[in-house]
Amino acid sequence: MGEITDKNQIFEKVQSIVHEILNINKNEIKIDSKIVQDLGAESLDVVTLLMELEDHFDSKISDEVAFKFITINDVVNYVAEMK
Amino acid sequence: MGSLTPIGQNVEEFWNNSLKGLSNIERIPNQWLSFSNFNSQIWSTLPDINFDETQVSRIEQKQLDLTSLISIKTTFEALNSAGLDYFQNNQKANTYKINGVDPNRSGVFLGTGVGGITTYTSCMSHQILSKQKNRLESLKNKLENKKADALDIIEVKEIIDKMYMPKRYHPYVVSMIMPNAISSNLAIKFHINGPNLTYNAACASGTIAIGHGFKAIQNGSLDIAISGGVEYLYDDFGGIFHGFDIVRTLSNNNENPDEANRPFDRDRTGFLFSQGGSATLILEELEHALKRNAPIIAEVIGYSETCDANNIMAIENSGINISRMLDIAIEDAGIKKNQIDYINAHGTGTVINDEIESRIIYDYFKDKVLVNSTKSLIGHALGSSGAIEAVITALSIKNKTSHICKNLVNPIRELNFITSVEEYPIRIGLSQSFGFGGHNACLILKEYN
Repeated sequence: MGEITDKNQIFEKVQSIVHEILNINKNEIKIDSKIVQDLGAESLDVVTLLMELEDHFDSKISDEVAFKFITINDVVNYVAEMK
Repeated sequence: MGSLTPIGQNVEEFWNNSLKGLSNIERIPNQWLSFSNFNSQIWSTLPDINFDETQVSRIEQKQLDLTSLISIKTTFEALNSAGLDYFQNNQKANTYKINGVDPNRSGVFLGTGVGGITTYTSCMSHQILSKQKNRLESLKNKLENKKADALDIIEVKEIIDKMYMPKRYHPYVVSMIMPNAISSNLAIKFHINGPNLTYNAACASGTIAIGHGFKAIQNGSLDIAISGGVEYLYDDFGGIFHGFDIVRTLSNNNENPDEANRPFDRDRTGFLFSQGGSATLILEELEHALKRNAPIIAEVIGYSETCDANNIMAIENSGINISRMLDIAIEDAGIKKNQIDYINAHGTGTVINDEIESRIIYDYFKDKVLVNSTKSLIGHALGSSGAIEAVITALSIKNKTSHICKNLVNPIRELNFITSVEEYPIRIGLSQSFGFGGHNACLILKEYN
């Protein structure tokens, strides 16, 4: 239960970051949304997502990892494991 | 017009503070002193840069170098003051279109001396230091575990603490350091599809950029030219400052910071290094401006540029190519030289510039024309200076007054230097800039009736 709550909090944070980067409504950003295909992110947006995640979660994420993110869920899982 | 200078977040603040003779001079950052024995230890700093009234998002502030950001800031101000409305045309990209302006008949003409050097230096710090800093951290830990001499541990720690670097090697580095990023970011932000040019001519960059914008309108190619100059000159180690200090171009009266910067004065010792600045001028074809009842500040009527082709860092002694520059600009303006009421001089405060520039002004115009140096207030911000001085020239014409040539006690020549703020009959003004590389350029502006 605790893990789900934690993941929900991470999702809300990731949703808020993606909303700010892509300027799209939060309700369009779902846990299974594909970052590029569904949300229209370009490669530079993914780079910005990487910078934002590092700043928000106070950690270092390698570029290789960032470019392997397909869905929002991938990001949430990565951050959850990182924590 | 829009501007950011050490004495103003915007044109109104800059103009009012210039008339008060204000400056913003500080000691160079303490952390720089660990890396060089600087001859000059003062500089002119910018106020905290406020993006509140600028449509620049927090995300954009992370993606763009400060040169692009402050140029966007001063361009928003310039559009507002020119009465040009804009609307957001792309929500995701946060870009705008200007109402009533044909994007194909609009261009961007932007001058900069060194572009995104702040990002470049910070990324290079990261590139050079990050792994070595980790190694030193490991060494320090080893020393601590071995209970080594405490003084040795402290010394290693002090070295680590002075290895300044950003948290990451910025992934946008290429698009932040290329000098043309600034003009391109303006085109993207305001949807301008005409010529997009970056002028890189050291301290004459801003003047040359405005001159080429003016020419594009004069020859009928464009209706609107977003023109100006920008510079931002900070790094964690004082390396940029060192480049000018090492050749003794900077003012070194460190004991009297408020009196150190004194263009055209007998006791000048060099120029006051500025942290940076930006100015944007919206140039517009007259009929186009009249059709929309634009608030016209002044009219650009002449421009010219020449090159000394003599020395990479020093102004040529005879000034023959500066006199030729004046001849061409005056002919371009269709006026006589005695019609020029006011000169905003390059006026850096270096021994050689002021000696030669004042001689040329005297030989060419004699002693009636009013002269001041905006750098006497705000110091020298390289490629932005010409654009900032064009702003002062335009406002001096419009308001029939101008700021003093600060700290001018013993003038090196009998010129009509402005030493008090009073009403002056300024109808036509000239702003001239000279740059390392031998670049000479000047603009002639006239009152608009």
